Amino acid sequence: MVKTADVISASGFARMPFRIVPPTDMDHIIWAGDRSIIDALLFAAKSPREDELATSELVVIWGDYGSGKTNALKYLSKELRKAGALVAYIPRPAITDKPMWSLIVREVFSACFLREDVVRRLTRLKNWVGQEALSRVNEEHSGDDPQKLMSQKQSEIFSEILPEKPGFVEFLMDLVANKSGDQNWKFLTGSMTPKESGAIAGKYGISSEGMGSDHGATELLAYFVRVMTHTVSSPPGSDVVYLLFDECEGLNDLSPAGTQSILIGLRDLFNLATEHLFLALALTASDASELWGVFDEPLMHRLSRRPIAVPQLDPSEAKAFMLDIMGQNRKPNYQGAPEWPFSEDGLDAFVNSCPAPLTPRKLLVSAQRCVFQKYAAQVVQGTPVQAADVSDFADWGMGA
Amino acid sequence: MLTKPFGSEPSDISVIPRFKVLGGEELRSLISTWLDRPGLAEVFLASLTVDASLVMNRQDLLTKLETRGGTVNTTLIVSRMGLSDRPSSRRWRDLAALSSAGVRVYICSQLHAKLFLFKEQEKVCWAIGSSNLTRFGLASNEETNIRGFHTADYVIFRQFAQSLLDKSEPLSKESFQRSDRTW
Repeated sequence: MVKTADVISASGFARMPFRIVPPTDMDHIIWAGDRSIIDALLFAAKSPREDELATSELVVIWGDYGSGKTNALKYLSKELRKAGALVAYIPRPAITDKPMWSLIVREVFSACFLREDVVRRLTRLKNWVGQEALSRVNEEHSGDDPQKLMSQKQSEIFSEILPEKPGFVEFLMDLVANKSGDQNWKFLTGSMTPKESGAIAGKYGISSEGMGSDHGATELLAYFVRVMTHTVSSPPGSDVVYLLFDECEGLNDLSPAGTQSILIGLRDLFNLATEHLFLALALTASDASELWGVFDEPLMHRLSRRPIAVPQLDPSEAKAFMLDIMGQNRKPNYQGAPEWPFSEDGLDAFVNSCPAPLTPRKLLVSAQRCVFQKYAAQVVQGTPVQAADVSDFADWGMGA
Repeated sequence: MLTKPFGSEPSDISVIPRFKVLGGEELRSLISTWLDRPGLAEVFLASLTVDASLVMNRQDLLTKLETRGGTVNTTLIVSRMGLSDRPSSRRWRDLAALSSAGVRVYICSQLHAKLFLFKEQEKVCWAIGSSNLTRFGLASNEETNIRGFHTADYVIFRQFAQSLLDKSEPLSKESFQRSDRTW
């Protein structure tokens, strides 16, 4: 039995290159092959920034199973986080037995956003509010109690930031100041009894439904986006808030009530947060007309970009993908041929023998079995996988 | 400002296709999937004839329709042309079984349309084409069908379905008797 580590070493790799990165692993995501898809996504993702168009975006990305949609969303997450943005990657809409929109919103706060990160981002706004209130107090020179006046000025600023619900700004500022322990964070994550939630809602004048209803959850998430991206402090907590939903085809497996709850939630959120929000929905579909079967018409009418297709690869694109993925996983100072552990004709034969549809997932799984199982001993001995080796490729079930 | 890359054009949903061409096997898969959907509220099937033993996702069509017929508003129209057979034949027996299970079975004398409609609370699916609900139509024949999920299209086909229903008669003892006389 040949050890994987020996094959990695003999192949000139620093790590296993033919890997399907698990959903939880964001750090090891790379982009290989044609960049037009990721460039289109990155372009759309920048658009809701204040220094661009600012208008919120609703984008759909679709393609065959294994075509790289998840990788695209995760790579996008990685790049956006690197640029300092607040990103939630939601692996699938069916997060519970009875999925409802309000549960997904709670999941965004409890599993996708980190409390410390949210606090750090909002600290800038809190500091700005404090300075601005102080400067207004000083300008006024009234004989009123300075504490009371300061409080009045802060409330005035809260109303300017979020006129419909100034109490929610105060709620977030108290979250930053940790005034009520972690009660305010618990409110957002839905981990409170209805009575406790009601008390918090009453204190800040927030909808008493809180996170307990779809409507309340949508409203709170939209307000959160607006405060987080508010531009009075420089820089804002995040230029844009990104919500990336993967495997949306799963919406069809839910009960009609669950599906409707989520579709209406997405639609209402997009209506409420008209600026600085980026929503991306990825789904497996064999053609674009299937989008009509997964999303409802009102949501389709809100798409802000043409759906981005992740197409199957042709053999030349598949070869470029393989070369790129191997190249990005080489040991430093690797001097060998770019095709190694395949010969040049071996790599050509490999991609040409892989049964359609040619997708990155299928190439990775097939290459793993080819190099790390069937021809592992041969590669360790220094002989590449050649065209003749993969001539019976389809017969040994590699493409499945 | 950003330089616009390929594929990032502003949305124009009119460019998103609303239907797809399906062969018989793909249509079978579509019908089978929709018959399994938990939120299914209404089914309308029109076919020259029905092969009730047709296997759809490990279950025969008859069983599937029988199962859903009791809980989902299911209508099936078949042609008398496809039933020129003795009332004791398998096809008549199948129709009687479906009818007993709650499927509203209708006979249309000159029906040649193939129309398959599915409706959930907020979602729809329609398919039309050349396939009958038979093993040949949904497996071995070269067939052309189209399917879509757009409500506006569904509404048109649902109206057409109603016009077919208006020209049909419910399966009844008289249908059997008339068939016997025809024979």
